[in-house]
Amino acid sequence: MPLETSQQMPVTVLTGYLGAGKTTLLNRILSEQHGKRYAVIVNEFGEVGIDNDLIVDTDEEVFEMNNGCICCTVRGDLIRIIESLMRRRDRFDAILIETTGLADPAPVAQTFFVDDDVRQKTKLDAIVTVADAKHLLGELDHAHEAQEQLAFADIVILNKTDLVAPAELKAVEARIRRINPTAAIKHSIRCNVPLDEVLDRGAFDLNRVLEVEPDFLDAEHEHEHDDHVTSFSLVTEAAIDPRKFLPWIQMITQKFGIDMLRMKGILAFKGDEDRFVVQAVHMLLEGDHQRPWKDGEKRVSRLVFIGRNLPKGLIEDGFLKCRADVESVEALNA
Amino acid sequence: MNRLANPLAPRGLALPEKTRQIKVWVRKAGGLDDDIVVSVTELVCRKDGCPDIETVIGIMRPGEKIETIRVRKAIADVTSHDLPQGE
Repeated sequence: MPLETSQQMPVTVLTGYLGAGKTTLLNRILSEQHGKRYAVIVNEFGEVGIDNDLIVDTDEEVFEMNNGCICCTVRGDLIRIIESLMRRRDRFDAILIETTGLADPAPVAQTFFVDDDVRQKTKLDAIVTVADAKHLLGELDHAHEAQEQLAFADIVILNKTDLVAPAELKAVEARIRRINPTAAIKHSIRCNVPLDEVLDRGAFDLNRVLEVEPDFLDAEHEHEHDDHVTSFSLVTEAAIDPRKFLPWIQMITQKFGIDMLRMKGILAFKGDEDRFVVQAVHMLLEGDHQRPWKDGEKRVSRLVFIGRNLPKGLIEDGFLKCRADVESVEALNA
Repeated sequence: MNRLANPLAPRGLALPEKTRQIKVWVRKAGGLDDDIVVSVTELVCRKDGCPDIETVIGIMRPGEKIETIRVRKAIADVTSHDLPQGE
């Protein structure tokens, strides 16, 4: 049964390392006139400068639905709070969730794909990560959480850009791109980004998969950093055979899903006039036909993987065996 | 082109009426107040070792650890007899 998307409350997740500027952005969203009313789930009640009963504090309670399986782990506190908030749904238009600087974004995102009640009432709009341009590089070197928050992001607000020289800013942006080539990066000073570039983005909508063209600043990535999280993109102009690809991508997701933080792709299937899009958060994989290829649009298939130590060579080999012109059924042997 | 069945199609909701019924059974059996949230989720995990499908019920009492009930069946197949009965 398809979900009635118009009735689902959009949810924006606001994440970022300690001191990056999340609360500044949150207070802007709550205080500026933009025509939308937000219910806010925060972890530090006192930091938000506005006091009303639609601001709820939380304890970041992890709910392991399946004995430690990372892909079946959600946030119990969010299920509980959303249930409570939705009894007052006429009083707000959207929900904002602020996480702590040390929170794992995966259970937060998975709550919106796993729990049926939450899925029925809400839809994850985007994960917005605020990063401190001055301190990000140091944080990335020392904290896996900082890398994973960037990896999960649909939008990165690169804040405090006035505190760094242009060359340093370029280096910071390159490092972000190496971890996450598909996020939209917005530069800001005191989080002064236009709010319509952050809110109501539909980033998890299959119709908008890879709307931001993956941006690999340096194609071969100079490996001067030993990042915990990295990314790569696989591209082919040859048509893909769905009979090979669909079982293959399920197998890859099953085998490497624990370390696959996000994956997005657009496929040109042989003899199919519509683009096929896929996306995954860990093992939560979905895909569907999207829109017809436009006249003159290059039918290129592309998959972007963001994860921890994913075997690029093996995955690339399997992907290329999914080409329709390859006489092989070995893709599944990746 | 004859399209293949799409195994990746976005998952719909698993029977909202049946989910509501399961919640009623759980509330009744446990004598739960309205302020206690009961979540019912049909879990389809791709990981080796996880059941292909199971229904996970979370009883979320304020201030307490979430109590979990697992039934190794799809939501559609769960009956009241699969759930722990109250005193």
